Amino acid sequence: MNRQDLKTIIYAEKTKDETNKYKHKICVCCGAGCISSGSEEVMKKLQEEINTRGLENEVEVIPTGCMGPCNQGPLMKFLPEYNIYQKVDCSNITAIVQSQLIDKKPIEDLLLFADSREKPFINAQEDPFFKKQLKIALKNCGHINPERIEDYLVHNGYQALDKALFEMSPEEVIAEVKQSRIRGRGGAGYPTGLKWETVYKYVNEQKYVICNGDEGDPGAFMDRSVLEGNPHRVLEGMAIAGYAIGANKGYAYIRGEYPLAIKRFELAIKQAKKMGLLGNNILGTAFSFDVEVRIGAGAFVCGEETALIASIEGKRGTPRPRPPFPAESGLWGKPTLINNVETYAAISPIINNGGEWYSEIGTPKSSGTKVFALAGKINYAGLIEVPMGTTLREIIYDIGGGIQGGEEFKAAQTGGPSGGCIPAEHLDVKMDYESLVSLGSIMGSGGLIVMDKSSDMVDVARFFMEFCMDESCGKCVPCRVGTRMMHDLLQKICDNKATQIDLDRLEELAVYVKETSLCGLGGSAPNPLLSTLRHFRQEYEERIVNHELRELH
Amino acid sequence: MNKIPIIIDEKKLETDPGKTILEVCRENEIDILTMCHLKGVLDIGACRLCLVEIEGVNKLLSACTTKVAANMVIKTNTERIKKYQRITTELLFAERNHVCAVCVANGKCELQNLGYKVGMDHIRYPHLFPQCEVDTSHAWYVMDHNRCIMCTRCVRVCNEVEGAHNWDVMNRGHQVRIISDFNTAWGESVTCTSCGKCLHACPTGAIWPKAIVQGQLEKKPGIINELMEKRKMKL
Amino acid sequence: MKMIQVAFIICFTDINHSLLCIPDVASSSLKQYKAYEIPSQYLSVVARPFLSPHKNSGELFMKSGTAVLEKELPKTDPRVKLIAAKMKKENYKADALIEILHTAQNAYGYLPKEVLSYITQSLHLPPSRVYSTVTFYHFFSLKSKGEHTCLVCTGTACYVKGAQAILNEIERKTGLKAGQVSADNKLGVQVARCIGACGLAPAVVLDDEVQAKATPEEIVKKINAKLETV
Repeated sequence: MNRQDLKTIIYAEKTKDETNKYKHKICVCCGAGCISSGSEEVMKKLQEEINTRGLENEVEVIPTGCMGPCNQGPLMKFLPEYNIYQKVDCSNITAIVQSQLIDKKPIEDLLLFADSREKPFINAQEDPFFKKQLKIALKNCGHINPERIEDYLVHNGYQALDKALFEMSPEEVIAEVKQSRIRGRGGAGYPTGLKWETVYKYVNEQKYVICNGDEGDPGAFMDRSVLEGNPHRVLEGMAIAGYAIGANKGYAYIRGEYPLAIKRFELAIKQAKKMGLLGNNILGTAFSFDVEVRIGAGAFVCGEETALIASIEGKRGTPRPRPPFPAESGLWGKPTLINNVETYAAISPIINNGGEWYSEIGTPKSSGTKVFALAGKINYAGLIEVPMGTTLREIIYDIGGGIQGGEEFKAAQTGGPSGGCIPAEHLDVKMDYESLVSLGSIMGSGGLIVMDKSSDMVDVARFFMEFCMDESCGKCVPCRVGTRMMHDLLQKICDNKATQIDLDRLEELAVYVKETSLCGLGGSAPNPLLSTLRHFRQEYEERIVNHELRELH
Repeated sequence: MNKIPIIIDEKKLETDPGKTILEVCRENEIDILTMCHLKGVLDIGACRLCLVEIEGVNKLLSACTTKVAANMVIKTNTERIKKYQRITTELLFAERNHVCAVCVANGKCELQNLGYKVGMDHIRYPHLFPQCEVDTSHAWYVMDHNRCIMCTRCVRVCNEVEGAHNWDVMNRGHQVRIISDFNTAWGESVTCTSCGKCLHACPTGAIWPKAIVQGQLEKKPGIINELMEKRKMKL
Repeated sequence: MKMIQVAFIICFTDINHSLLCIPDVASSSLKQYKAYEIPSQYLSVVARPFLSPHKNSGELFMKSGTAVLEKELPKTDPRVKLIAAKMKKENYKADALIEILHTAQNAYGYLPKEVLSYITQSLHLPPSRVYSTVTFYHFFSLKSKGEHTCLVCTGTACYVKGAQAILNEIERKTGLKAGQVSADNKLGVQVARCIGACGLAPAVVLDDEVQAKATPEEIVKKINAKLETV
C-alpha cells in the first residue's frame, strides 16, 4: 500500500464517521481490570438489549481499552453525552439503556463515583478525576477499539509515521524528539532524544529497536494499559524510532503475565503489516521495518536493558557491566535502542504537534506528561495521566479522591522496589524526576501506592527487600548476598530482636549494595530501605531492643 | 598505535588503547583484587572486588570490564574502595560454609588469600549456613558446593575453552548453584569430558581431585591462559 | 584406526588435549558482551572422543555436545507436535529457546524432563544451558502445578490491602504453603509478584480467572467449590 491508498482509507473511514448512521456510541471498557470484573458479559448483554430494542442501527457498541478508574469497573461510557456508568452488571443494563437512550436521562445513582461523591457529575469530563488529567500517551485509550486499526487511523493514527517518512529526514525526527525534551519513562529518565542520537551515530548495517514492556514493578500497570488500549500507538512509535536510527527490526518484549496485551499487540502487528504500515517498503518508501513480540517469562531483572537483551537472545536474563552501552553494542552485539512502552506512545504526538508543543507541558527539566498507576488505600484507584510537576496532593486528593475511609495519609510509595516513600510532610512535592530523587525516591515506571497509618513502614521495607532478594539474578556478590543479608536484618528488626549494631550494619550494607552492584536492580534495591530510614527512622528505633550496644570498631 | 596517557593512583602512565584498566594495572604492578577474573576467559564483572573510582564518573566501575580512555584518572585504593572490598570478602565468606581448617585448598586458596589481603579478622555478618551438596560421583574429581563462591570461572572455562558446556548456573538470587547437565550428578554427565580445566580454574577448594591429602592441592589457573596463547599461535 | 585411538588416549592425559580438538573460539579481547556460544554444528563435526573415567573405564566413547534422549517421546502426541511445529517455525534457533519453552509449558502445564531433553537435542544446545534458563524464570516449572491453581497476587498494592491474610487463610484451610501442590495433585497454591490488576486489589487468580477485591473467606469457599466439582 502506498501513501495515497492510506489517505483514501482514512478518508473513507472519516466520512463514514461523519455521516454516521449511529447516533450513539457506547464504549465498554475491556481493559484487563474491567474484564476481570465481568465487562465482556456486560457487553454481550448490552448488545442483546440493543438488538431486542431494534436500536442496532442507531447505537454502536465499542469495546475499548482502559478508561482509568479501574476499581469502579466494569465501566460503560455513553458518547456524545459522556456519561460514564460504574460497576455495571447484567442486571441493570436494561434500566440504563431505557433511561439513557429512550428517556434521554441518565440514572444518577449508577453514574461514576455516585456512591462516594455527594452528587456525581453527569458529564464525566467535568469530574475532577478527569478534569485534572492531561492525556497524551493514553489519549485514545478508552475511546477506540484497540483491535481495529481503522479506529486508530481515524484518530490521526500513523499520521506521524507518514509525516516522518515523507516530510522529515531521520536527523529532523531526532531533532524533534530532542526538542521535546522527553525523558525515558521507564524510570531512569535518560533524555530520549540523546539516546536516539547516540544509536543513530553508530554506523552499522544492522540495528535494532526494542520496546521494553517488561513492567515488573509491583503496583504499576501503565504499560499494560497502553498496550491493551492502543497497541498501534506503540507500534507507530517504534517504527518512527526505527526510521530515525536506521533500524529495520524491532522487538517488543512484553511480560508473560499480560496475555491480553500480547494478544492485542500481535494482532496490531498483523493488521499493520496487512495495511503496509509495517514490513517491507512501508507506504511505498525504501524504509522497511518489522516487529516481533518476545514474551517475558517472569523475571523482574529483565526490565534492566542488558538483562532484557540477554533474555531476547534466549538466555538467562542476567545483566552485564556497562559500558559498552546497548547503544553501541546491544542485541547480538549490534547498536540497539531500548525505550519503554510509554516513551514510544508519546512519540507520535510529538512528531504530529512538534517538539516545542510537548516541551511546554510539564516543568522545565521534566517535560510532558506521566502516567501513574494509583493503587493502595486510595478511593479511586486506577490509571491517570498528568503533566509533570503536578503535586502529589493534587494527585491523591483531587484526582484520587483522598484516602479510603477518610484516614490520614501516611506515605506514598513511588517507583516500586527501586523507589522510595514520600511522607506526609512532602505532600506538596512536584512529581518530576529531580524532586523525587531529592526525596530519596525515584519516578520509576509510575506506580504510586498510597499508604495510611495502618501500614508499617519497616514491614514495607522488608517486603520490598524480600522482592529484590527473590528477583536478584545472583550474578554479582553485593546483590546476591547483600540483599539476603539486608532482608535477614530487616526481618530481625520486624521480630523485635535487633540491636543498634544491626541497624548500623544495615545502613552500611545498604550504601554498599547501592554503590557496588552490577546493575540497576541491585543499585536501587536499598532505596525503599534508605528512604524509610530517612523519613521514618523512629519506627525502626522503636523496635530496637538494646540501644547502648554499639559496634566497637 | 599511539599510546594514551592515563593516571592511576597519581602515577602517570602511558598505555595502548583498547586495554582494560585491570590489564594496565597488572602490567604496572598496581595491585587490584579480583576473584571472578581469570586470564584466558571472558570477564563478567561479577565479584565487584576490582571496582575503581574514575574521575568524572559517579559510579564505581569494574576494572576488568572497563577499557582505558585517554586522560582517565583512576583511583584504586581509596578508603571507600577498601571498605567495600572488605564487605565483599565478608559476604563471600558468610554466604556458604567455608571452613578453611578442613579444606583441601587451605593455604593455596584465593579466597583465603583475599581475606588476608583485605585484613579481615572476623566476619561481622551472620553466616547463612545453606545446605549444600558434595558431589563425589565423578571418578576423578569432587565438586563441593559448600566452598563455591559462584565466580563461574569453571562455567566459562568449560564453555569457552573446553567447549563442552557441562557447567552452568541454575536458579537465581542467593539460591544459585553450579550444575552439570540437567542438574544431574557430575559423574553421570554426558557432556563432561573430564578434562580437568575447571579444577584449575576454580579459585577455592570447591573443585578438587580425589586422592589428595589436605593442603596438597595445587591449582594452576595460569594454565588456561597458556592454553589460549598456544592456540592462537597455532592458528 | 587403532593408531588414532591411541593418539587420542595420549593426548587426553594432557590437559592441553583440547588443542587438537577445538580451535580458538574465545578471543582474548574483551568481548563478553558479544552473545556467543560454541556453534553446535561444530561440536557435532568434531565429535569429541574421550576416555570416560566413570563408565567402563578404558573404553573409548564418541559423543556430540548434546544430551542423549532419555525416553523417546511419542511423536503422535499432539503436545509434542505442537512443540515440534514451534521449533520448526523458529528455525531451530537457540535464541528462540524461551519462546519454545513457553509453548511446552503451556502444552504440558510444566516442563517434564523428557520434553527438556527433546528440546535440548533439537536445538543442539548443551543441557545445562537449557536447565539454567528454565530455572531462572518464574514462569517455567519443572513440577506439575496441580489440576487447579490458586495464584495469590502479593504485589505491593495487594500486599497493602491484605493479600497476606488471604494467603494465611488458604494455608490454614488447605495446609498448603505457597509453591506447594497437594498430595493428590488436585490443588496448587502459588504467589505472584503483581499480576497488574492493582486497581482490583487484593487479587487472586483461580484457574485463570481473576477474583477481584478478594476476601479470605470467599476465596476458601471458591477453592472448596472447585475441588468438589471434580
